[in-house]
Amino acid sequence: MLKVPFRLTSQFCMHALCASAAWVAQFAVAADSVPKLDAASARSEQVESISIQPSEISFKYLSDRQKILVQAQFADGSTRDVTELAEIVVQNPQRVDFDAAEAIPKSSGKTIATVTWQGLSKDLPIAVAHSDENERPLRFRNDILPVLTRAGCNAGKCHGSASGKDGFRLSLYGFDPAGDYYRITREMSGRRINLAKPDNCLLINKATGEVPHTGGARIEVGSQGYGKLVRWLASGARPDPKETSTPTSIDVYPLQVVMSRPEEQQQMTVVARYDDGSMRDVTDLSVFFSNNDATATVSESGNIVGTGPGSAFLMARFDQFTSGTSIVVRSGKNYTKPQFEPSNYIDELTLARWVDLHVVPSELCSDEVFLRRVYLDTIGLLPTEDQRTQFLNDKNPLKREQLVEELVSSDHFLDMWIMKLAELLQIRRANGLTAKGLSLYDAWLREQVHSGATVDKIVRDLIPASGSTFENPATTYYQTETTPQLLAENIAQAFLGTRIQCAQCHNHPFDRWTMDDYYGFAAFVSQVGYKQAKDPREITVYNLGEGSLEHPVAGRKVEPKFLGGEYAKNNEGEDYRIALAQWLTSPDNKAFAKNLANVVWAHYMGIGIVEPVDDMRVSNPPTNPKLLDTLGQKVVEFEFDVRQLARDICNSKTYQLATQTNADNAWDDRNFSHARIRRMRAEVLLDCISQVTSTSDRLAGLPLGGRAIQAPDGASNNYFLETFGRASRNTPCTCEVSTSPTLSQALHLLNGESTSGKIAEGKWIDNLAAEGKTTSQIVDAIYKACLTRTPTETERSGIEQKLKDSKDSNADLVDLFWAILNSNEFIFNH
Amino acid sequence: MHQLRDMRFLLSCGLAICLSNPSSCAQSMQSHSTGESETVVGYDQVREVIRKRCATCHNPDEMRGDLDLSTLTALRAGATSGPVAVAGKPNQSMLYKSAAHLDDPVMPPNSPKIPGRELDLIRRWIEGGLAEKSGPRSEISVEIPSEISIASSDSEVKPTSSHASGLVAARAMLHSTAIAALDAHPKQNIVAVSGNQQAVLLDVATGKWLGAFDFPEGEVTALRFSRDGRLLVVAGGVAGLSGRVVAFDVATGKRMFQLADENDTILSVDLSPDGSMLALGGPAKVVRIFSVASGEVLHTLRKHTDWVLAVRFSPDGLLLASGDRFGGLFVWEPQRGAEFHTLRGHTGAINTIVWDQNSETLVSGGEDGRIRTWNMHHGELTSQWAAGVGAILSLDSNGTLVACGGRNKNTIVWNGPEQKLGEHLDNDQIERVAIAANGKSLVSADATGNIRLLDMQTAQERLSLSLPVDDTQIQVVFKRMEDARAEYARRLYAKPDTVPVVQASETVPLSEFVANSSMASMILAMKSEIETSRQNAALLRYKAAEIAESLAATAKLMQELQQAQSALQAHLDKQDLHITAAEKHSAAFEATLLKMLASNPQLSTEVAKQQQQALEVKLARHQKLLATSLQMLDQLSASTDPASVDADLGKTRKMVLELSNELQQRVDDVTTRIDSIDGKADTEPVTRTSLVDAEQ
Repeated sequence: MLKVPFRLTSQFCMHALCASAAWVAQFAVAADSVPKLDAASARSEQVESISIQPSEISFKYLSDRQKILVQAQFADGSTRDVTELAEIVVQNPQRVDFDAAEAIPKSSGKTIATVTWQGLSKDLPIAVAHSDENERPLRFRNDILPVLTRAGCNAGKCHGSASGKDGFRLSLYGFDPAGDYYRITREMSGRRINLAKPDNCLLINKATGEVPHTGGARIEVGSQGYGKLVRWLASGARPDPKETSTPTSIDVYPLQVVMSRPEEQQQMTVVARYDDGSMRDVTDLSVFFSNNDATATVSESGNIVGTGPGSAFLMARFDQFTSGTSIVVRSGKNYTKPQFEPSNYIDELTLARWVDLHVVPSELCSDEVFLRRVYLDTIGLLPTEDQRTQFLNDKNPLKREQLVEELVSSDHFLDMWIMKLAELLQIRRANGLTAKGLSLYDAWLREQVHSGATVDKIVRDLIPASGSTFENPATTYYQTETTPQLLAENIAQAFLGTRIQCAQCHNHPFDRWTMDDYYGFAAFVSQVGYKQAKDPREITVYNLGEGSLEHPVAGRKVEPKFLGGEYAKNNEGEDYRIALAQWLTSPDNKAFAKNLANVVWAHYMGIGIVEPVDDMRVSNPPTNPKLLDTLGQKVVEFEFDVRQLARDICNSKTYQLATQTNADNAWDDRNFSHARIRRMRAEVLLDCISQVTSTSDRLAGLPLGGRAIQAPDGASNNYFLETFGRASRNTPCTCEVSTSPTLSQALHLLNGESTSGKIAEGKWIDNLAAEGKTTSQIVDAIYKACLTRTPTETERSGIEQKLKDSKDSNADLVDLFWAILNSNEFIFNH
Repeated sequence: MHQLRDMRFLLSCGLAICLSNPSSCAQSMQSHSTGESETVVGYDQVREVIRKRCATCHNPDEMRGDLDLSTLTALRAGATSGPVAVAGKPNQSMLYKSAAHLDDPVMPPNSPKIPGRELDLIRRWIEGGLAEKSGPRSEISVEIPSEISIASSDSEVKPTSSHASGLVAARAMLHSTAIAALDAHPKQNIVAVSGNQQAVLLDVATGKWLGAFDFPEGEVTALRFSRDGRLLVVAGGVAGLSGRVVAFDVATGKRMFQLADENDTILSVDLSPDGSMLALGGPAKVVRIFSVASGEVLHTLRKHTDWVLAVRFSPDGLLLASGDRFGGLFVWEPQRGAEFHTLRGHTGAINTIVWDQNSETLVSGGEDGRIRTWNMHHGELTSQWAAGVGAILSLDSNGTLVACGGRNKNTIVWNGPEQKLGEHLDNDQIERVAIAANGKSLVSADATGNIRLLDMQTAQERLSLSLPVDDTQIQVVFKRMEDARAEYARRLYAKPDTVPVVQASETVPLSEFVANSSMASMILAMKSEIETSRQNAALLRYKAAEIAESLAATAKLMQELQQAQSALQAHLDKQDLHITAAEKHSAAFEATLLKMLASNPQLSTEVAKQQQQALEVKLARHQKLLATSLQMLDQLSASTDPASVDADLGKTRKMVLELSNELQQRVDDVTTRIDSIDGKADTEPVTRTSLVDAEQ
C-alpha cells in the first residue's frame, strides 16, 4: 500500500524526497510497535543480488540527467525496487553528482558510482564526454513531438486521425515528424504559431485550454512540456538541422519485474539511444501503458503498481519505438512448489512458469474426460461406447499415449488440419471462383495433405504458384484476393501470425511495423499478373516481371523487403514470390514456425500462447515465451509435421489437466494451469450430433454422409454451421471461428431440426428398444454415447423415478436424449 | 423589510465577487451603491462568458448537441431535448449544471470547471430570470484573461513620416513572424501589413514604415483597403476565440465602423466596391455578408465544407467569390445571397482569389499549384497553368500581370499563361504578395516575416525589410514562464498527497534459525543497529525536508497575507471614497432641504408631498449606501483576523466606523426633517440595530 505521489516525480527531482518521505512515515509509525522496515523489505527471503539499470551511463550534454534503477533480486526469484533505499557513492564527484538516484554530469571524464543496499554493492561506470555544447539543443523531433505525443494530441481519435480534427492534422503518434513540423509551422502560417507571441498563440492556447478546445486542456501551464513548447517557439521554431540525431532504439528498464505480492511498486526508466551514439533518459517523454490492468497498472510517469496476481506486459512508447518489460505479480500467499512430475518438455516449461507465478496446477483429468477431450480435439468425433469400454478396461499404463498415437495417425486428424489450413487459405466461393474452381482447389489441398505434404511444402507450392487455376489449383490463392496489399496482409496474418494492416496508412502504433515494412512486404506480390483462360471459369495467374508499389508518403518505388528482415536479392524479372516462399518457410524464419506451433497449441488448449493467435506483436507478447520458442524449434525439428507436435501436446500433463481449479490457479486463465472449457466449434458439433443420432447430413460439395469438417466451401449456406459460428473464410483471421453463445443457437438446439429432427430420423432409441435393451441399458447407452460417462447416482435415480410411471417409456427416453443433446456438458469440450 | 433582505443578498453576492476579483469591484460596488436599478444580472453580462466558454461549439454554424448558445433567443429556445436555462432555477438548468459539473455532460468537455466568478454570473443570471439587460452602469465586464489580451509593449518605433495624423507608431515585436495579411492601397504607393496587434502602413517608394492602426481585438489576419482607398478594413481576433472587423479611416486613423462577432479569427475579408457590404470567411465554414450601415448580417452562405480562406467582391460589386480549404470555389450574388456559379477544378485548398477589372474573369490559386481563370458568363474554366511556386499562397493582379507567391519560396510575375516575366527566390515560403498602386512595385512577404519590395517587371529585389523587432521582450516571456513554472510547482505541491498506509508485516523479520549462535546474534544486533541508524538518518532527512517545505509554505503564506492586506487596504480606500461621496450627497441634500424649507414654508400639500417622495427616494438611496458601508464594515471585521494586518487596519476601521456613524446621524436628521414636513413619520429611521434585525 506504499503510495507515493507519482505525478510529482517526473517533473521535479523530488522523487527521492517523496518516496523516502512515504517510506519513513511508514517506518515512523511502525517503529512504535516492531522496529522493522516496511512490509516489503521484511521478506523472509534472502537478497541474492542487486542490479543497476541501465548498467552504464554515458553523457554527452551537461544538461542531461539519467535516473537509475536499483533492483534487488531475492532467492525466491522476486524483485524489489530499492532505488530510494540504496546508497550511492561516486568516486569522483567532480565528474558526476547524484540527486537521489538521478545522475547529473559535471565535467568530462570517467568515474564509477558504487551502489550499496543490504551489504550488497554494484559498480556503475559513468562516462561524461561533452562537447562545447552543454545544453542538449531543443529539437522538434526529439523534444517537441514527444510532448505532443505524451499529451495525446496525435492520438488516433484526435489530431492523429486520418483527416485530423477540427481542421488540424498530425501524423499518428508522430510517425511523420517533417510533415508535423510543416503542418504546425507552415500549413496555416500566422494561425497556429506566432513567433512574436511564443506563449500566446493558438498551439499553446489550445493545448492549455486557454481558448476553447474540443480535446480540453492537455498541457498544464508551467509544466515541463509547456516550458519546452514555449522555449522552442521563442527560439524561432526552426526546422531541425540535417545533422540532428535521431533515436535508433529505446531500452525500457527494469528488464524484469517479479513482485512478491500485489500493491508493490516499481519505477520504470526509458533510455533512448541515438544514431550519434548518445543515450538519453526519456522517461519524461514516454507514454506508458499496460496490456493487463488487472495485474499491473502504470502511471503517466512510469510507476508500476501491482494490482493482482498474474503476468502483464508494460510498455513505453517514445518516438517510433514501443518496447516493454514483462512483469509477474504473485498472489502474496505462501507457496510451495507443486508436486508435478513433467512428462515432457512442455510440462517442464509450463511448470517453470507456474513456479514463477506461484500457481498450483489442477489435478490430472480422469480417463473418461481425457478420452472425450482427445477425441473431440484430434478427430472431431465422440468416442463410441465400444471405444470407451476398451479404453477404460485397458490396464496398460501407457494407454493414453497409445490412444493419442492412434488418433493422430487417423485420416480424421488430417481432415481436421485440412479444415484449419483451408481457413488460413480462405478457401471459399468468392471473386468469381466457380464450383469447379473451388472443388479443384479443395481437392488439391486434400491431396497434398493426405500425400504427406507438410505445411512448409504446401506454402512453398502455393505462394509462387503460376498457371491456370484448373491446371494448377494452387494459383486460386491469387483469386481469393487480388490486390498486393490484401495479399500481403493475408500472408502475414496466416503464416506469420502478424497483423500489419495498420501500417498501410501509418506506422503501427503498437508494433515495430512501419509503412516501409508494409509496402516492402506487399511488393513481393506486386507483380502478379492475371489473364482470362479459355474456359470462362478459369484464370491464368502469372508473373508480370514488372511493376512496383509506390510508397504513399515518400512517393518512391518500393523494393521487396522481408517482413522484419532484409531486402530481397532478386534478379531482374525473377518472380519475387519465389524468394518470398523460400524466406517464409526457411527454418531460420522463427516467426513461421512459431506461428504454426501457436496455431496447433491454441487448437488443443483453447487459447494460444499468443492470443489472439494471429496477432503477435510487441505489445501482445506470449504468456510463456520460452514455451513458444521451444515449440517453434520443435516444429522445425519435426520438419513442419503438425502430427508430431500434436502428439507431444496431447501427451503432456499440461493438456491432461482437469478443468476444475484450485485456490492457487483460479485466477489464471492464460498460463494453462487448468484445462479450459470450450464449446465445440460448429463443424465438430454438427458431426457429433449426427454421430450420436446415427444420421447423416447433405452438405454442399460433399456426398451424403460427408462430415462437416470436410466441407470445402466456407461460403456455402448451412443454417446450423452459420449459427454456431463457422468461419466464413472472408479473412484469414482466427477470430472468424466463433464459439460464443447466442440466443439463436439455444433456440435452434431446443426447437430446431438438428436435435429433435435428427433423433426422430435416426430412430436410435427405437432400434435399441427393438434389440431388447432395457430402459436402464438405454439410459446408460445415451450417457456413454453423448457424455462418455455413465449417469451419476442422482441422475440415475431421478431418471428411474420418471420412467417408472411412464406410459410411453420410449417417448420419455427420446426426451432424455433430447435433453442431453441440449445440455452444456454435451456441447462443450471439457 | 423584504427589500432590505433582497438587497442584503445581492450585496453579499457583490461582495463575494469583489473579494475574489478586486479589479471589477469598483464598478460593481458603484452599481450597488447608486441603487438606481435592480441589480439583476442581464444577458449583456453573461454574454461574454457564454461566448467564450460555450459558443465556440454551440453556435448556428456548429450546433454540437443540437444546441445554439450564441444569442439570447437561442439560449431561451434551448436544445431539441429541452430548455437549457429555466428562469429562476439554476439547479434545473443544464446550462448551469453542466458548467458547474453538477451533472453530465460536464462542460466544457475534458476541461476543468470555468472560473467560479463566471459560473456565479451564470447562476445569478438564471436566478434573476434570464433578463435581457441588467440595470444601467451595472455592467460587469468579464475580461479576457490578460495572457490573451493585448500585451502592451513599451518599445515602440517612432513613425518615420507623418502620413496621417491618426497613426500610431509601429509596435516592435519579440520575434519576426509570418506575415498573415498584406494589401496594397488602390491609389497611393502604400501597403498595409499585419503587425503586432496592428495594421502597419509601409511606404512602398521609400520602404519606410509610416505608422500603424492599433487593433487591440487581437492578431490581424486579414487586411483590405476599400476601393476608393479611404478605408482600411482590418480583420482578426484571438485565434480559437474571437473574430472582429474594424474599418479605419486611412487619413485620420479614426475607427469608422466595427462589426462581426465570430468565434474564431477571420481568415479573409472584403468590402464591396460601393462600401455598403462587407464579406468575411473563416474557420466557421461559412461566408457572412454584413450590411456596413446597420452592422447586421445580411446573408450567411453555407455551401462550403471547409474553412473559407478567400472572399473577394467583383469590381462591379455584383458578384462575390469565395474559396475554401477543401477546394470548393463558389460565386455568389451578394445582394440576394444566392449562388451564381460553382467552379469545379481545383484539387486542393483555394488560398487566394482575384478578379480582373471588368468583373468578367476570376483568377484563383491554391494548394494544387495551378492558376485557374474562370469566365463569369458561363462559369467555365478558361485557362490554367502551373504557377511554378509550388502551392500558391497568394495572387495579385493588375489586370494584365499576375503575381504569385507560394510554398516553393519564390515569387513569379506572369504575363498571362506560360509567359513568365520574372522570378524571385526567397528563403521561406511566400505568404502574401501585393502589387502597389503605381503598378511598378511588387511587395512579397514570407513565413519568417521578411518583406521584400520587388520590381514588377523583373521580380528583382529592390529592398528587403521587416517589422521592428525588440528581442529584449524575451525577458518578459521568460519571466512569465518562470512564474508559470513556479505556480505549477506550487499547485503540484499543494495537491493532497496520498497518506501512506502502514501495513504490519506478516512475515518474521530476519531469519530465526541463526539466532542460536552468539556470533549470529551479534551480527543480528549490529545489523539492527545499522538499520536503526539508517532509519534515523532517513527520518532526519525527511524532517529536514519537512522543515524546508514548511518554510516555503510560511513564506508563501506571508506573501499571501501581504497581498490580502493590500487588497483590504484598497477596499478601505474605496470605501472612504464612497463615504465621502455619500457625505457630499447628504450635505447637498441637507442644504437643499434647508433651503426649501426656509424659502417656501407655504408649499401646497401636493407639492410638499411630491418633494417628500423625492426626498424619500433619496433617503432610501442613502440608507442603501449606509447599509453597504455597514456591510463592508462587517466584512472588514471578519477579514482582519490576521494579527499582522490588525494594527494598520484598526485605525482605518475606526475611521470608517466614525464616518458611518456620522452618516447615520445625517440620515436620521433628514428623516426627522421629512417627518416634520407633514408631521408624519412614514419611514422608519434606519439604525444599525434595525439593519441587524433585518438581516436576521
